[in-house]
Amino acid sequence: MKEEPLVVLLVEDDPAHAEIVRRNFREFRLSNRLEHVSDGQEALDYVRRRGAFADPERSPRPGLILLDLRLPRLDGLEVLRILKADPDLGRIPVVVLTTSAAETDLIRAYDAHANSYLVKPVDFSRFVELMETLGLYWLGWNEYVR
Amino acid sequence: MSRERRQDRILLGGLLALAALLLALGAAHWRHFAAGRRAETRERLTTATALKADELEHYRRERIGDAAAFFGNANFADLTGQLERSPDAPALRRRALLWLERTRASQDYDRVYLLTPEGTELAGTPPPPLPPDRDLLPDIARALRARQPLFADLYRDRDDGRVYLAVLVPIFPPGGRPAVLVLRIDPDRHVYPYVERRHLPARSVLTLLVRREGDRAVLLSESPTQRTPPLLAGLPLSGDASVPARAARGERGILEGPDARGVPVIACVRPVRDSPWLLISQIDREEVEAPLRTRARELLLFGALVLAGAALGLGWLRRSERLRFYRERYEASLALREREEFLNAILDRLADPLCVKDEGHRWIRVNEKFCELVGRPREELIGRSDPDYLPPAQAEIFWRVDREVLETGRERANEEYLTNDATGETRFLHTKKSLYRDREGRRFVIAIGRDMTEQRRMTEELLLNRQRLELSQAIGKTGSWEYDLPTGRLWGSDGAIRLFGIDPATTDRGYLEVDRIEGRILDRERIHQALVDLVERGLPYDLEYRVLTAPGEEPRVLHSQARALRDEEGEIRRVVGVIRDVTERRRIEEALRESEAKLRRAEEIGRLGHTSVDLRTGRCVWSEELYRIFGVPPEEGPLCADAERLRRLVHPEDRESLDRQMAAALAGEGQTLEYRILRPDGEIRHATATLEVQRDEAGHPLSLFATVQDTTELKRRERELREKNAELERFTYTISHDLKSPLVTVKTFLGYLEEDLRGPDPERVLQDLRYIRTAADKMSRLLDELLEMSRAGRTLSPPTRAPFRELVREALEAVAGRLAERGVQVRVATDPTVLFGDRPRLTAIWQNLIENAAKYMGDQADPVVEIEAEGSGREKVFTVRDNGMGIDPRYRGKIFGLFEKLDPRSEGTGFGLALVRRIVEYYGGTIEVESPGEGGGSLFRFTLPGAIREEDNPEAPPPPGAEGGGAPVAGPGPEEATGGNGTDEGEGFLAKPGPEPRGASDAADPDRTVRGSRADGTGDASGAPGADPEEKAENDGREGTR
Repeated sequence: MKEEPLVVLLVEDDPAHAEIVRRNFREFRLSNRLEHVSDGQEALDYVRRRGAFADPERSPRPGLILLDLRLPRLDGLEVLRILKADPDLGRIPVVVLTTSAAETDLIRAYDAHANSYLVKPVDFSRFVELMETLGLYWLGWNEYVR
Repeated sequence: MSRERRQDRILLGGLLALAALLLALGAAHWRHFAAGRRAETRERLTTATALKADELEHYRRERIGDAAAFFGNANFADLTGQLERSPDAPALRRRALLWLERTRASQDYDRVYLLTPEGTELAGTPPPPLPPDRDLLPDIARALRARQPLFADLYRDRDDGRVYLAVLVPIFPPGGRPAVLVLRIDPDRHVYPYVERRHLPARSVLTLLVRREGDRAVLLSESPTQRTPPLLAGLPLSGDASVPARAARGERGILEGPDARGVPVIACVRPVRDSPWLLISQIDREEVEAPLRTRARELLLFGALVLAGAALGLGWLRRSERLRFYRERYEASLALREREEFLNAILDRLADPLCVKDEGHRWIRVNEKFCELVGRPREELIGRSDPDYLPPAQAEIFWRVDREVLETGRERANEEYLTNDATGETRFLHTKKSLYRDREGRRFVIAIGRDMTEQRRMTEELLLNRQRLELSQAIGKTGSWEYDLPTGRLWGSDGAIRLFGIDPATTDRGYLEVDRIEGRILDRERIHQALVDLVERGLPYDLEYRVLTAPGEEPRVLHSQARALRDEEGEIRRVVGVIRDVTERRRIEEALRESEAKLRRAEEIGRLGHTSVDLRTGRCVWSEELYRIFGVPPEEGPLCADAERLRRLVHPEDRESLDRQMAAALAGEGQTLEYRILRPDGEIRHATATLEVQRDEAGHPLSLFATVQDTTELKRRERELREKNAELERFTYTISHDLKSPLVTVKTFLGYLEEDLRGPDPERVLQDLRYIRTAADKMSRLLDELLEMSRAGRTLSPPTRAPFRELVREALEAVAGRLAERGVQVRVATDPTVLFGDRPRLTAIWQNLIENAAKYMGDQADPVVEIEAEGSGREKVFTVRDNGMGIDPRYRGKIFGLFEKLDPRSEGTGFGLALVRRIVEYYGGTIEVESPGEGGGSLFRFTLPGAIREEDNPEAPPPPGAEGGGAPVAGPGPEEATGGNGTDEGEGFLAKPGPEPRGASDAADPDRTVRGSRADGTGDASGAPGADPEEKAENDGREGTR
């Protein structure tokens, strides 16, 4: 049924958090390729294949984007808005993955058509659980426009 | 007439007096004139006589001189001796004759001859020789005796009977007999002409030569009047009063008296020296006095003429007097007749009947009106009496009154009826009868009536009207009054009088003294002035005043209006007015005014204006506060009518939306409008209007009531609050994200650590621990910085003065290590500015900026940091410039955000610039950054108005070291200071009519405000990379204010 495992783009400035996601992917044997960029500008450059991300082999188009909100240079919300305003890129589901549980962030994210909003739990087991569920839902059940 | 006679007498007396006066004057004048005349005559006579005498004397001296040629002449004496001796010797004779002839011819002697002492002629010329001259003998003897020449006075020659004068010269020949040379003179040729020559211009003047001979006076010259030959007329000396006689007697000078002829003369007598002669010059008195008489006649004639003239004048005066008397009498009679006619004319023109009756009740004079009333012509009535034409009852009354008047002599007035004999109509009359007594003592009754029929009817009607008026005034609490100017009488209707608290019954039918009214008026002066204005200048009289109806009572307020009534000449005669009791109304109005004032005050305090508009008529009212809100002077009036003007007062950006909101409100949807006002002076105010629309039954809007609230202050506070909220939110965010983030890391890796500890890979344990430590460190630093940040909003140490350069020096010291490590060269401008504030905080600004510059130097080989200050006063702009890696213009707005960093791999936490901005804003300043892009270096520019005091920085020309920053300053002027910390300058930006007032647009879009510093930068980034740098700068500036 699935031809190629979905490429997941992780946009995360905190290397520790990126490591956590990466470990979880490994933990749950997810075959999906995980690409990591550390700020908003890089994320846009990636999806638009600009600069260092021009090679489609090395930087394949992501099927799912995990987006932190608090990012250097270009903010996560801004990245979200730009993506969703793009007729092509707008169809890529964006899952906001952030430490902020602030309601304003939530509202703004959904206003910018975030597909999902997940708060990084402080608790280790819950974080692992979240990642597992995320994998199940977004990489298992969810259907994508190819 | 006696007066006239007396007048005559006075006139006559005057004439006589005048005559006497003239006479006296004439006499005096005449006397004076005569005396003058005589004196003049005498003087002239004296002078003339003296002259003639002198002439005669002169002549005689000359003749004696002639004799000198012979007297003592030896030659002639020899010749004479020889001639005596030989009288006939022809030669001798010839010689002798030659001598004689020469003398005779030269002096025109009558004859010259030589005589012997006996009188015999020896020689003589002219021939023939004369017989011996006996008459001369005595004189010859005298000459020989005297032995000198002498005159032989005038004598008559006996031979020829003529009168001669001779000079005798004795000649004594040597040895011979003496002889005498005779030089005979004819007086007719040489003496008399002298004497007779007239010296005076008078007809009767006469000069005589007189010689005394014994007791006689002899006239030597010929008397021209009597033609008496000379020497023959003699006058006896004694007893003769004639002038010659008196002269001969020795009188000299002026003599008056008869002359030889017996004619009275005035004469002057003078003797001729060396001779027996007396010279008399005389003028007839007759001639001297002739002009005097003439003058006397003239005077008399003049006097007579004057008297005659005076008499004539007086006579004419009397005559004209008499004429006037008769003319006046004639005119008086004419005037009398005219007056009589005039009187009749007057009486006939009288609208009132008049008749005069004699004692027998007979009409002797009636006027036309009377005839008309009785209904009979005048001719018929004269001489008749009342019973002849009037009903007996009426006649009876008339007679009775007549008798009463005749008997008592008192005037009677009574009311009576009179029936017309012709028409039978009865009239009602007021008649006044009085007694008249003429000179002869006859008595008459004069009756003057007045037809009161009409008046009676009108009075009744008037009474009725008056009752109606009083009733209506009583109901309406009004009154009317009149003031008659000529009489000064004041009348008020009952209603008017009651308004003053006076009982109308106490007045004289409404007439009352002005004092009674005035005494109760409290604003007397004003009313008086208004009345004067009305009467004298025709100004309208419409005023209110207070009246004290009774002591202790509340004064009542009366409204009074009046008008002046003019007569035909336009003179103001009467003032008619109306008064109304408006106490109640005024009380209500006062209450209304008070509540209006309260409303105004409330509106002012609440900055809430209101307006009401009648949508059908377009009439509208603006409350005072509304004008203030719109910044329009109330004199302009409500602006509803001028839609265009009103529209201009709305901020251009809000006009369309306001139109929409307005239309919606009128359609019944929504009642609140929000918009900005653009005042004429350019100030922008926020306003919220609330509408209420009144509609008719069909739902059409009739009128509109709106309140307008000036919400500028509210908006400002709202914005401030939002800003504070945003700041708070940032902190919250920091807590919830930035602090949580390492916590997540720590806890998660702790979980991994547990797993990995059980696992085989010790490397993984170490990795986990590294993540945990890093996260914990980060957390710790975040907490420190958060603490510092929260402190930046407060003052830690008391403010002190610190020169700019000192602060920079301290900052440089603090970052010396990093600068040295990177080899950064620092240049500091020599600016004298002295700052006043929390010293460590101020130092932190430069410290962080310098550190930031050093940190982001990139791969610059020759790193330089320049620290400068430019501008003056509180607007001083401080700059920190570096030539490091610079900042991508897209992120310029982001760098001042808390924990924002551009480079995820850099060592900082994104705290330093946030702290700088917070400190700058604490001092009321702004901060912005300029950079041409990556690798182009960056320029931080900030102001600190709150830390610059004027007393520390006296105005001085810019110091030479403060060179400009090069790039144009994107206007961080005072208007840019948005007052993030709530200073007064917070409103400043509103005053700036920019193309897009920031605060306003922010307020209009709360969403953006909430997004705060985090969101804006990304907006810029996505917008347009090549956007206008100016606009960018402004956006950045705005960012900098958060």
